[in-house]
Amino acid sequence: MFDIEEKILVKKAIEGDTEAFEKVVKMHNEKIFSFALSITGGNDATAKDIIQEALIKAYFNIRKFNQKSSFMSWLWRILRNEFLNYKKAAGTRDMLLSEDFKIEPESGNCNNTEKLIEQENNTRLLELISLLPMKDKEIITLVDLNEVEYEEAAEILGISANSTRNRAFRARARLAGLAEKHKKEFR
Amino acid sequence: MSKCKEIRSLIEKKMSEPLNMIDDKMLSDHVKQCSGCDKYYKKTISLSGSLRSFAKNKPSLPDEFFADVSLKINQRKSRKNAFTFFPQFRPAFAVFLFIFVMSGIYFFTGMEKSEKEEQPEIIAKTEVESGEPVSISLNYDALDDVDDVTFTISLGENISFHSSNKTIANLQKHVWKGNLKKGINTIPFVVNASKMGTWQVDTRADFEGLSYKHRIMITVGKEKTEVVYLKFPDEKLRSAI
Repeated sequence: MFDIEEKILVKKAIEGDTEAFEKVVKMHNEKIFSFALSITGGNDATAKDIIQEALIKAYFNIRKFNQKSSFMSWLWRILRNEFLNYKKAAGTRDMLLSEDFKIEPESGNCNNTEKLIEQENNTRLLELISLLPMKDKEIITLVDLNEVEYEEAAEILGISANSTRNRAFRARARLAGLAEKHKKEFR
Repeated sequence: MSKCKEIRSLIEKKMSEPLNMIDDKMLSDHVKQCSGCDKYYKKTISLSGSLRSFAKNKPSLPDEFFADVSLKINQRKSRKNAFTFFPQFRPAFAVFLFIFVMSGIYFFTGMEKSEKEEQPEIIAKTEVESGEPVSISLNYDALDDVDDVTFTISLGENISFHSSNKTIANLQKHVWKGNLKKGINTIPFVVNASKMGTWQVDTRADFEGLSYKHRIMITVGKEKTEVVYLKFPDEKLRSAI
């Protein structure tokens, strides 16, 4: 059902329907945003800027989408390229660990301790993920942050399910190593 | 493999899948005696917990964000459409000579021209939203057909031609030969001026020993971009004197 709806929207978007494009990318809202946050180390504003540029590029290139793969798989490649461009422009990875990087708290919700702890944890987590190689970031974003099944993640990334599983295993191990190296505590 | 190294591998493995009973027992026994591994184990547990917690409350982009993206897409679409409305800077363009909206510029008024360049006079003003491409139109009112007119558009600093064609977009100066037909001849072109400040575009039409020059001053502000059309007094070309 979801796929059919997506296909119809993609078809309309290819015909130039901006509203349909908006709807279809919204379907992948969380995946897109968490990927961008993991690239920017949790910098909400930069993540949005990158996504915006990527989505505009996607819209104007949607005719190149051959519909053999899933829309998300195609969109993911555009996002990845945009993120790589951002990384090149941003320079060193280390700058991602600056104090400026944090997820903006939801308005009015940051008074309770639990929420604050969660936000601190998320910020630390995203900072760490941002230090991983791109392949690891992708897999952690999909499989762990978005709880996407290995098979679906494999389809999006264009690799086998087995490779996805192995990559996820290695990525988590690297993440744990980074947490230790950078003395990141999670509560 | 040293014991600690082996245990660390198990700890990392446990992040992805449950361990078998033997490995699990070995791990728990080891961490009881090794503070380093115990610390690492606890850290991975809390890290896994954080990953799960993030997944439970994933941040998402607000609807306004997507609406804003759609708005920007539509703006860019309208720019593209606007540009296709004017045929791009193809040679044919030159032949037809574009036309412009500056009111009242006459080529054949027989006025005496000063050989010195004088101060240009303002002949028109327009305004567009900042960030939007600036459409410029020049009107030439010819009293008769004129052949072999050399047109030149020179872009100043921070101005570029608005075009999806990179060659055109990278041009700073465009020169072509064309004709003027009797009556109003309009030459339109579109430029981008994104940086705040005042920038200029100079245009000229040279023929039969005469030169007609215009300057377009583009002032990019925060919200509005002001476009001022100036006309220099007509002058004779030195080479033709």
